[in-house]
Amino acid sequence: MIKLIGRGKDALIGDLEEQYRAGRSARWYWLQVAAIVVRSRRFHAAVAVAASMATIATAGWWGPTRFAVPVLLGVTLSSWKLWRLHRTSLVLLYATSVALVLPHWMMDASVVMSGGDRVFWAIARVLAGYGIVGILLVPFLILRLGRSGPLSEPPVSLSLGRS
Amino acid sequence: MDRQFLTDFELIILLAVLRVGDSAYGVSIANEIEKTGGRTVLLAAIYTALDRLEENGLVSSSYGDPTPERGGRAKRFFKVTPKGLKAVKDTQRSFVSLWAGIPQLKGGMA
Repeated sequence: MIKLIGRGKDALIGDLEEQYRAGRSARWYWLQVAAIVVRSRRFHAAVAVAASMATIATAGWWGPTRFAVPVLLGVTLSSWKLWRLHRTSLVLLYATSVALVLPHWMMDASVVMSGGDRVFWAIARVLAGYGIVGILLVPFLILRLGRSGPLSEPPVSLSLGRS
Repeated sequence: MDRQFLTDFELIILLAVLRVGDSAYGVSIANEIEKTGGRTVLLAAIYTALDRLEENGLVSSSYGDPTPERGGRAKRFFKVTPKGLKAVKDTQRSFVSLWAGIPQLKGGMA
C-alpha cells in the first residue's frame, strides 16, 4: 500500500525503513505510514469520490423530503479532515455533491408540485449532467493540482504573511 | 516587495537544515527538530514542507547512493539556497521587530 500511495517518495520510504531498522517502534512506523497516506493526493481523491457516492446513496435512500439533514451531517463529518488538509478540494466536493443531490430533489418536486414542469425538468437535467461531470473531475483535479497548484498548500498555523 | 516570509514550520525546517549542514536529509532534519526544538514531527510533514520550499526555490535537493539499510533507497539531501537564507533572515528581522516594545514580554526572552 505504501509503495502504491507513496509512488515518487522513495527517499521518504527509505527514511522510514532506516529508522525502523534502527529500533523505532511499530507504533511509530504505522503512525508515519498513516501520515503519508492521509497526506497523499490519491487518498484525497478517494475520499472525495467516496463522500460524493455516499451523498448520492443517502439522497436516494432517504427521499427528497428527509435527506437534507443526514446528507448535510454526513458530508460535514466525513469532510472535516479534508477541510483541514485541503480546503479547495472540499469546495469542489461540496459543489459536486450539491449538483448531484439537487436534481434528484427537483425532479421529485416537479412531479409533486406541477405534474412534471418542463423547465424544472430541464434545469434538473442540466444540473445532473454537471454533477456527473463533476464527480469525474473532482478526483482528476485533486490529482492534477495537488503537486504544485492550490491544492498543495496545507493550512498554516502561524504566518507573518507573504509578499 | 521581494521579501518572502515563512510559516513557523517552514522556518523550523530551514533552521534545522542549516544546523545539520551537508548531511541534512529527512531523518537528520527530524532528529534535529526533536533534539533542539523539543517537538516531534512526522516525516511526511517534513517532506511536504521541503517539497514546497524547493518549489519556491528556498532549498535544493540531491540524491545520495542507495544503501541496504534503507531497503536500497537513496537519501535525499537538502541545502538552503541563498534565496532561502534571505527568507530566514527576513523572517528573523520581522519576528524581532514584532517582539520589540511589548511590555508583557520584557525580561521574558530567556
